[in-house]
Amino acid sequence: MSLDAAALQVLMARLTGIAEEASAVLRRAASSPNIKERADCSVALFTRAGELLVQAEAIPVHLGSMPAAVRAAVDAAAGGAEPGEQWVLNDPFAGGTHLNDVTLVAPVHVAGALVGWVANRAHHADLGGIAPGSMPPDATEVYQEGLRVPPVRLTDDVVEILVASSRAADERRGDLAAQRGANVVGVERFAAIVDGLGSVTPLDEVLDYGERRMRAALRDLPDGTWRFEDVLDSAGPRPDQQTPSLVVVTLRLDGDHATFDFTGSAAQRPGNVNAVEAVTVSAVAFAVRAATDPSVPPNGGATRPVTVVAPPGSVVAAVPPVAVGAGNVEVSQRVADVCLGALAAALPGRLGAAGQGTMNNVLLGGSGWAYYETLGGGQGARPWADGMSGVHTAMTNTRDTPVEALERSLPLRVRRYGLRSGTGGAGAYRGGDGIVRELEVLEDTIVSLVTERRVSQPWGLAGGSPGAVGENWLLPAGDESRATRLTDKVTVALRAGDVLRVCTPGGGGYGPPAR
Amino acid sequence: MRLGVDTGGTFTDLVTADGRVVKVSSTPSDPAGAVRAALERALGSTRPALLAHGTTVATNALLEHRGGRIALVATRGFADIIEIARQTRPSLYDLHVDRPPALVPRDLRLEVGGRLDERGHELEPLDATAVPPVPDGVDAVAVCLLHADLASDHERVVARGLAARGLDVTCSHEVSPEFREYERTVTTVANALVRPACRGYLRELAGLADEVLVMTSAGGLLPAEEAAERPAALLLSGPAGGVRAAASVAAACGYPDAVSFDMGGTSTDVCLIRGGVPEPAPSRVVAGYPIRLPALDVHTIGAGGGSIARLDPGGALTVGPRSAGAIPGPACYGRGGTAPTVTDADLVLGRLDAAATFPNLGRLDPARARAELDTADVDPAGVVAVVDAAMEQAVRVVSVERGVDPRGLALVAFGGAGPLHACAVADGLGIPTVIVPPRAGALSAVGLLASPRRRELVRSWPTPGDGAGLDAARRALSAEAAALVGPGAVVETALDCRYAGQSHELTVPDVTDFAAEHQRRNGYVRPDVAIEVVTCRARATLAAPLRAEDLPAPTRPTVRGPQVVAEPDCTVWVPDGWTARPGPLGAWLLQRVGARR
Repeated sequence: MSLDAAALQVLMARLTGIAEEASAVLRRAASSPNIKERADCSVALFTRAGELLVQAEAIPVHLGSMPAAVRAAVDAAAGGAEPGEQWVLNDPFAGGTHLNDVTLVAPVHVAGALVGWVANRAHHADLGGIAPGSMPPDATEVYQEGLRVPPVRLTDDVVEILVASSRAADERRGDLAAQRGANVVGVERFAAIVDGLGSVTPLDEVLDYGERRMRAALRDLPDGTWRFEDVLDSAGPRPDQQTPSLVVVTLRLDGDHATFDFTGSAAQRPGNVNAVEAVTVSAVAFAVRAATDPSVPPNGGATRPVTVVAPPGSVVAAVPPVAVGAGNVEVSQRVADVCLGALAAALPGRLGAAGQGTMNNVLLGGSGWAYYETLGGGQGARPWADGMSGVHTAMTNTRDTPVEALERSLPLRVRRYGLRSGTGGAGAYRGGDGIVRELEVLEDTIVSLVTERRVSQPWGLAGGSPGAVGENWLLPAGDESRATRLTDKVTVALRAGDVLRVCTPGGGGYGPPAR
Repeated sequence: MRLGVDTGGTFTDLVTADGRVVKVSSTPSDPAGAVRAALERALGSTRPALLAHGTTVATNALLEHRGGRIALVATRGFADIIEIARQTRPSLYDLHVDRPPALVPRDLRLEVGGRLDERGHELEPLDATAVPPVPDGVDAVAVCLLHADLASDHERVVARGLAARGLDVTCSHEVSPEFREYERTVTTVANALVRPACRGYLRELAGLADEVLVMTSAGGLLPAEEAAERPAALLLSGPAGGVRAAASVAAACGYPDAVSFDMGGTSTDVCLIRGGVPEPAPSRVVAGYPIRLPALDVHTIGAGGGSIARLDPGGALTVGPRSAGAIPGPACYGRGGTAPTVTDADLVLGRLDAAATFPNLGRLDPARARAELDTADVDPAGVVAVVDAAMEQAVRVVSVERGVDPRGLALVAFGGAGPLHACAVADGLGIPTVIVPPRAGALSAVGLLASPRRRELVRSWPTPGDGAGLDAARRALSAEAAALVGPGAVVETALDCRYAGQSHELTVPDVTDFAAEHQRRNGYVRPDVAIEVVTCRARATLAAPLRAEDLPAPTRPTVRGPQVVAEPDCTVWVPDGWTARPGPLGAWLLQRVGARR
C-alpha cells in the first residue's frame, strides 16, 4: 500500500469534495423544481475501469445503479473518448433505470491519458410518452413510456432531441445544461487531483479500502442462509394486471461474503412494475449498508464481497421490451424490503419492521404544465424506537413541495395534508403513521398514480402488527358522498373541482404490543 | 464605557472600548452570573454606558426544549405539517438517526376553519368562535395559518381570541412573513418556545448598563427589549460577532473578500465575506429545526481541536465526529481525557507552546498527549493532515461551491485552533494570505462592539408576475424599518426574485440585478423568461457602537516560520515557508515566502 492511513483519508475527503461540488453546481444550475428543490439527482466519480469511487449522496436508488450507466458509456466509447466529450443515456436496458433518469458520463484525462470518469444522474419530470410524467401506469412496453436514449455522444443535436420529446421543453434544456456543466466541473477537479497524485494507483487503494471495510462488516454477521418473500400488489391498472407478483430473496452469509439470490421471483409482466437489474443491485446495496455499518464508504470496493443473482426476465431483472417506469420507484422498495427482511432474520434486534414500501408517485399534467410528487408514509418500528411518521423510507428521500409553493405556482389546491393517526402497526414499538394528502384540481387535469401497498400490508416484526395499507380516492367535485376508490395504479382525467385523496401506508410494528 | 460581552459554551469574553480583554468561565445555569463577573473584573462597580451582548440563552432553550409546553393553532387539515416537516429523514442509511422531535406534540396541535387562497384572498371565512379550547398547562401558543404571509387578518383574529384568554401568543405573520408553511411554522413555534427564558434573562441584563444591545443571527444589534419579544432572531447569533469582526479586520488589511475561519474545540465555523460583507442566508438550521430568519451564511462542521483521532477497521485515520469536548478535554489537559485529539497532535508537533500557561488550564502535558497518540497508533502529523483536509473542504463549501475562487481570498483565522491550522488550510486551497486579527481569542466580543444596529423586515409579494404597486410597497416597508431603528437609519431594500417556473429565489437589490446574479450564482441566464418577485425586504442600519479601527492596535513582531507564537488569548503557528508581518489594526498578515515542501 502506497498511501498511509492519513493520506488515504485525505484523498477520500478530496474526492468526496469534488462529487459534492459538482452536485452543488447541478442543483444550482438546474431549472426544474424536481432537481433544485427535491434534489432528485446524484453525482459520482469512477475509476478508469468504471468502478465507483465516491458519490454525492442524495437518493439511495441512484447509488449502486450508476456503475451500470458508466459501464454502458465505457462500452459505447470503446472507439475512444476524447477530452471534453460526454455521453448521455436513459435506456433502462443499457445502463439506465427508468426513462426519467437521464445520466451524463464524461471521461477524465490527464496528459492525454484516460484516468477516470465523472457521471451524474437527474430525474427529468417529463420525457414524452403517453401520459405526463413519462411513467404511465397503463404502459406495457417501454416504447409507450417516452423517449429512449441509448448511450450516445452528447451533441447539441442530441440535446435538441431530448428537449423536443418533453412536455416541458424549457426545463429539459435547463436541466441538461446543468448536468453538462456539473460534469465539466467534476472532470476538471478530478483531473487536477489525479495529476497531483502522479498515478491512478491511489484510486485503486480507495476501492481496496472500501472492500476491507465491507469485508470487516460482513465478518461480524453470522453465517447461514435465510429466505424472505413479499409481493408487489399489481402490474398495472387493468383487471388482469391486478394480481400480485412474488419477490423472493435467499440470503447467504459466508464469512466475509454475502449473496442475495432472487431466484424464484416472479417473471416480468406486461406493465411497468418491472425493475432492471441495476435497480435491484442498488436496493441490495441500500439494505446491506443499513444493516451493517452506514459509515462504510459506498464505493465499488465495498460491493466486491456482495453478489447479486437476479434471473434475467424476472420482475427484478427485466429484459426488453416491457415497461419499467415503476421499477425504479416501486419494485426497488420491495426488493429493499425483502433484503431487509432476510437480514433482520439473520440479525435479530438490529433491523426494524417494514416501512411504507412505496413512494406513492403522483403525476399530474394540465395545459402547459407537468408536476410530479412522491409522498412519505410510516417508517417501520425499530427494536429500540417507534417508526417515524410521514417520512420517505428506503430507496428515496426527496422533499415535499410546500402547500403554499404548490398553490402559488400551479392550478392546484391542497385541501388536507396530515398524518393518518393509528395507521402504524401496533407493537412494543409502533410503526410510523402514513400521510393523507388531498389535492383539488382547479382546471381539467390528467393524473397518474403509481402506488403499492394498497393490498398487502407493510409487515410487522418480532410479533409487531403490520401497518395499514394505503388508499387512493377520487372525490368528484370534492363530494365525500360520491367518493370512489381508485386502484393502486391508474390514470384518470379529472374535471376542475375534483379532489384526489392519497392515503399512504403506515409502517409495521416491532415486538408484541403490551396488551 | 462601552463593552462587548460574548457568552460561549466555555468562556464568557469581554472587550472594552479601550481594548482590554477579560475572560471568565461561563455559567450555563445562571448565564447572567458570568456577565456580571466579567463586568466587575473590567470596570469594578462602574456602570457601563453600553453593553453589546452575544448570548446562547435562546439557542440553549431550544436545544433543551426549555420554555415549556407550546400549543399550535393551524389551518384545519394542516396541523401535522410540523411533524411531517419536509417528509425527509436525516440519514439515508442509518436507522438510528431520527428527525428531531416535533416542537409541538400531537395533543397540543389545534386546528381552526377558514382558508385563504394563493393570493391571500378569503376562500372560507374564519369562525372566530370556533377556536378550540387550549389544553391546560400550556404556556404559550403559536398561530400559523396557510398563506398568512399574504394576509394576516385570520391570524390576528385568532390571536386576539387567545390573548383574551390570557395566553401568550406568537403569530407567524409577525415572526416570519414568508411563504413555505413548514419553515414558517417552526420559526414561529421556536419563537414562542424560547421567549419566556429570553425575556427573563434579558430583563435581568437590562439592569447592568444604560443601554443593552443584543446580537442577532444576521450580525446586527437589537435593543434588549425588542430581542426579548423576537428571540428567534438570536438562535444563530453565536458565530455572528466573530464573522463581523473578521470582515472588518480583513477589509482594513486590504482584503474585502475573505473567508472567516473560526476553529474551536468541537466545531469549526466558516463564512464567506464579499466586499467586506459576510454572506447573508435567508434561513439556517438549528439542531435540525429550520429557523427562517435572516442569518449569516455560516457553514459549520463538527471538527475542532477536541476531535478524537482513531484508526478505523479498514486502516484509514479518522478524526471526529466524536469530540473530547471541554471536559475531559484532550489528553494533554490532564483532566482524565484518554483519547488522542487534534490538540494533542498539535502539542506533540510543537505547534503549541508546552511552556505556555493557558487560561483556566495551566500547562499542557506533552508526555500524556504522546502516550495516547501512541496507544491509539495514530501519527500526529497524520491527525493534523486529516483535520486540515476536513477544514479545506469546509472552506470549499462556502467558496468554490458558491462559485467563488478561493485564490482571490484571505483566510481570517481565530478561535482556539484557527491560527494553528490556517496556513495549512490556505496552502491546500491556494489562498495566499492568512490574517490573524488582534485579540483573536476574543474576536466575537470585538465583533459585538463593531456591529451595526439593524432591523430587517420581510413581506411576501402576493402577485409574483405583476409588479404594479411594488415600488410603493418597498417604500412603505423602508419607512417601517427606518422607524424601528430610529433617526439616522440607512435603509436598503431587496427583492427575492426567480424566473417564472423556478422554485428557488435569489435576493437582489432590484429586479434589474436579477439576471446578473443568476449568471453569477447559477451560471446562466434566460432572457426570454419572465422574472417574478416573491418577497420584499428592507433593512435599516445604524452605525456600530465602535469601529474596529477604534480599538488600540497591539504591537506584534515579524515572525519567520517555523515558529509558534503564544499570545495571552491565542496561539499562532507560522509554518516553514511562511512569514507573519504586522499589518493594519495590529493584525498579523501571514504569507508564504518559501516554496511548498
